[in-house]
Amino acid sequence: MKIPALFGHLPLEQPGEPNLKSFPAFMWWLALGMKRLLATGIFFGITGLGSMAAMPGFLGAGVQAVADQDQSRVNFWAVMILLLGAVTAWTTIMRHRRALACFITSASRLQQLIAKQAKDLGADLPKYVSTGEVVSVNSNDVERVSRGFDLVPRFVGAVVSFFIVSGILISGASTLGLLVVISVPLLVIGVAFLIKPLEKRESVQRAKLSRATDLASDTVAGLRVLRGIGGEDVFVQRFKDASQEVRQAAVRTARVRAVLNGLEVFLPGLLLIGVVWLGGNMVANQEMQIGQLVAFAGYSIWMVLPIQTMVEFAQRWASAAVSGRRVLKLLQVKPANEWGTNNLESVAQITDKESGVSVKAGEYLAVVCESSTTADEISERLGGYQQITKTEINGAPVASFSRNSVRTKILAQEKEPTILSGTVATHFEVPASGRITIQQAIAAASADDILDSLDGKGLTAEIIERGRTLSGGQRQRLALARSLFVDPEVLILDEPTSAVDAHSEARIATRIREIRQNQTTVIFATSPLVLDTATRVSLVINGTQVATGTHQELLRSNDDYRAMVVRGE
Amino acid sequence: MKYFDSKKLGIAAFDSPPKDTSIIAKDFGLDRSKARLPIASEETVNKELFTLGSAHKGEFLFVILLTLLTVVAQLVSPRAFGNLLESLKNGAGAEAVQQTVVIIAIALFAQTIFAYFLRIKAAVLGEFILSALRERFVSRAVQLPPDAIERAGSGELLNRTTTDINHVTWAVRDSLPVITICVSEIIIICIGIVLTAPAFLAATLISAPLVVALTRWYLKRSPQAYRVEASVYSQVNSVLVESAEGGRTIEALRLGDDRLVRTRSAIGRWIEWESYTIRLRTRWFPAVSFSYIAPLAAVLLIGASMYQSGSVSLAQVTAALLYTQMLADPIEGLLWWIDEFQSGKASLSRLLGIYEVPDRVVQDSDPKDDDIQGDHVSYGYREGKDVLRDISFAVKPGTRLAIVGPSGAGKSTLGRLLAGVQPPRLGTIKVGGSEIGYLPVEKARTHVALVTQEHHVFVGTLRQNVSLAFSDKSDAEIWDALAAVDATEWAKELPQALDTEVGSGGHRLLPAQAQQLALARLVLANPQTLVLDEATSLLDAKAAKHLEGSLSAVLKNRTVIAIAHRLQTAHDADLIAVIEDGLITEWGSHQALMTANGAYASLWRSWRDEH
Repeated sequence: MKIPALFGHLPLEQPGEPNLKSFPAFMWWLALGMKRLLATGIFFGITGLGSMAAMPGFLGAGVQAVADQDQSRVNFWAVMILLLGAVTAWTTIMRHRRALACFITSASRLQQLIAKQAKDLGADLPKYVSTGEVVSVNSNDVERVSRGFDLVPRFVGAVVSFFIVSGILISGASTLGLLVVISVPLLVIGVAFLIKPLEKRESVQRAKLSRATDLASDTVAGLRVLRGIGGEDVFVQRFKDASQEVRQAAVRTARVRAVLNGLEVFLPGLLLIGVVWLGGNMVANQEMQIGQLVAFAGYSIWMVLPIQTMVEFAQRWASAAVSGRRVLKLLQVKPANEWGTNNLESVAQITDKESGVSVKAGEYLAVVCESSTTADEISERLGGYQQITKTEINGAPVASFSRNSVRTKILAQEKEPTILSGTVATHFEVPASGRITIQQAIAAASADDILDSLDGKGLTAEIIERGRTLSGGQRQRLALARSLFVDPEVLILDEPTSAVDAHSEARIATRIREIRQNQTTVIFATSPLVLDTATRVSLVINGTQVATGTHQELLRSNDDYRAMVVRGE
Repeated sequence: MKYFDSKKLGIAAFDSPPKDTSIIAKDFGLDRSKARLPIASEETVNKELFTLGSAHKGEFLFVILLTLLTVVAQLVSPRAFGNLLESLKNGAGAEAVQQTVVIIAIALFAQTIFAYFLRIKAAVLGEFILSALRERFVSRAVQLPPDAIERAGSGELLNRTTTDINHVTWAVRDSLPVITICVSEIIIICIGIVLTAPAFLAATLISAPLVVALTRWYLKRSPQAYRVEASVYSQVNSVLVESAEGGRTIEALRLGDDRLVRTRSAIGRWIEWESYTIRLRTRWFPAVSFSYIAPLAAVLLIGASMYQSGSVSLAQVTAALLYTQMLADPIEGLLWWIDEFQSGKASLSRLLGIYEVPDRVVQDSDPKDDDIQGDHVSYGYREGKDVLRDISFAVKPGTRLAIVGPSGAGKSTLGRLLAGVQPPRLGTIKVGGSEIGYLPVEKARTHVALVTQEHHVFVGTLRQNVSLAFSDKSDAEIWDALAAVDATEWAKELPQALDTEVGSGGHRLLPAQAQQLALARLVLANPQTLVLDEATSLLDAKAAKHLEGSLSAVLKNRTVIAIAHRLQTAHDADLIAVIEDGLITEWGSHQALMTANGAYASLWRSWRDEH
């Protein structure tokens, strides 16, 4: 698709450094980023609405010419009307294109800024702001702010044309003109007062609809359970009740909307009556021509449009202001920088001072904890994600190194790693040593059958919904394959085979050892199939390492260990 | 670092728009061949609309009557205004003005009141139809045969439940009334013009052929283009959702910069679609907006010559001019909303599509006992590739059978067939002499129930979540069920115990707790045979072992078929089936299999470290 030049430069390579000092400063920074678009948009806004505003005058002149039976003037005004129509059509679409470009510029830039912020916060993001908040800012607030910019050209056009027409009306017939100029804004603003209660009812109605939709999708999501055990009727009834509430709320909204629509018909109608009354009498008294009366009637109807635009602008910016502040607040979050600048060259030893668990270069260490929670805590500390003051690398605090170099050398795979959406091939698009091929990694994690279950399309198969359709064991093996493919200097795995069947677990444990030969690996596990492959096992009870040795040694010497890992007794 | 990489996107919703606007974008949402659930045909949709409409015939006619009255009232003032100009030109005075003002005022009152009632009546009717539609959809969805749900995947059905219901709602609530009113207005204004002087109609319709042609061109492209554009736009957000929720994984894998490329690529793709749609509008909008103006010039010219020849009055020329001007609004409204209306209709065809899902093939009979007998069972998901290959087995009531084997060997498939989710491709699985895969779902589940590791916590209280269909169960019974799955402890600690709101938006249960909940439901439902497919896989080993102990105490005389990856489960069972590559390779008690010294025995020994 050929991209129009107006937004051919988007999305920007970098969103730039915004001014986050205050809300107005932030908005001004955004506006400056699209100043040419705004300027040309405003130009077309003024010419577009201005040409529309001129139409009643041209029509009036035409009617006057008909009344005067002046054919050449009729022809002249007919041509003028056509020309004016062409100008309106052209300027309107030009304005619209620029308004859209403003929207896209603002939205894409804000989204890029938010994405960059999410990247900077990284694993710590939940410490500062809930993911739900980030998502709602990105989806709702970005759009509201951008819709504010989108309306600027039309708004300026509306203001300017309003004053032009007011000038024409007042200079044409001062009393009548003043009547129109004063009452039109009053009418529009009066109607606008009804908008608040309408919006209130609408938001109630939306909330009820979204609750009904939630119930329906909840029922559908749990449909397998319901079909397997029963309870369909109970859940359908629950949905029907919610659905009826939506209906009632919608009817209540419609009542207010009906009043609003009624007024939208009635009030301009009243104005028109006023114009006909006053203007008609002026024509009867020879103070005005017929064509002028036609034009005046046209103007008074047309005046509603710019005023409506102004009200719309006020409403949009009221909500853009709220949203803009939310975006600003998110971007203002500054991650506490706990990290140093030293470059981590290589890892000789990592120690968790809290538990006493320590791993040396080249070791394949297995850690047995009595609970999964303890395992999580120790593995997050060893990896440098939680309580990083308690971890030492090569005898120095982990925080003395740069975060980037630590992440490069050490890969700590958490218990439930995220599978990102995309294909199997994109799943493996991660920075890696290149020593291990995707096929080797998949084979080592015993994950070949997953490719089969994904429609058998191999690497091009799509992983739907972030792997939610896969079983827990399949997700684990897919994630494990990815970590093995990365092939980091130090690999920490938190219970990577807890949901994998015994047959595969035995295979995987052996293959991990082979593929990680001479490299540092820490694996948290309780299965003897895994523990037996490790060069050393560390036993943690009550959060502290109490014994260490090979699996066989510990089996012989430690009763607690035996009780924990050998099941079936 | 590359800044834009469309390959990064690689999924259907991210397809590029066509090269230029002469090509119509494909609508993946309406591709019947790709849909995992049927999409209703145009005919079915029209029939359903007609049925719904005729159920409210009276209200429908009343709404149409109100529409007509509103529009007719609207026609009065231009004519009166034209008459006034005529008489003013002929020297009339203030009296004529007064008369006209009174006429216009009466017409205005009438129009306002008719419009007010029209809005209300139309909303009441529309909301009735909407609620009927969505309630019928959900009622049908919960009756779908289990294998259809599995085939479709939850995503497809969910999508229809949320997106399509919303689309239909907007279409019926907003576009349908507007379209009805606009069409009536256009027709009646045209009648008004003909009544003024038939010759004007030709002038008024001068640009109609152009508008019709261009609009057809536009409408062929626009609905699907806007739908794709919207979903591509929402993909930008999906990328961020992943980045935010997977922050830990992304940091560990150093994918931060890659995520920025993905965001930028998604935005880039969205802009491409915006470019496509703005091109559509650039061609269509100006033509339409010019088409309101051209007729004015035409009416003026024709009017002038007819006025000169004396065949029409000035009043008629003015009225025709004003009528022509009045046409712009309804035409614009019609063109504007017809998009939405079409998209609503497309959604409706997806909603109604679930009526076309073939029903489960039922051969009803009453199982005489709970003996399970499988004979020469074969089953495959793809042609020519059977997952289960000609297996036979028998399970006596009260047996605890464990199924073990490597991933992908067909264990879960066997579990589903045993629970009667669907019948086998070849051979039979009978419970008490009846083929379980052909029993009505409601009957099959009273004999065999299946719990998989896929768990779901419903929005509602803990009590509702455990009881499901059995809402008459007492608290004591519910607590007993929770005790049987070791859930008493955490359940008691919940803020409001059984009355705690759980599920999406409520108190969040851990995956392991959700799994216990699933088992508690089963205890309460109390079928004779339970198939547990990795039903305790999310608990840690110690907890799983304990749970299985307390559960088996409750399920003493029940048949339990457990598919498990933990050998512990197998050890505690009466019988073990080892499934490898679609075949039962070993069958017998733990002791027997150890004596046979096959694959199971060697696995067990390595697990127990008996070298």
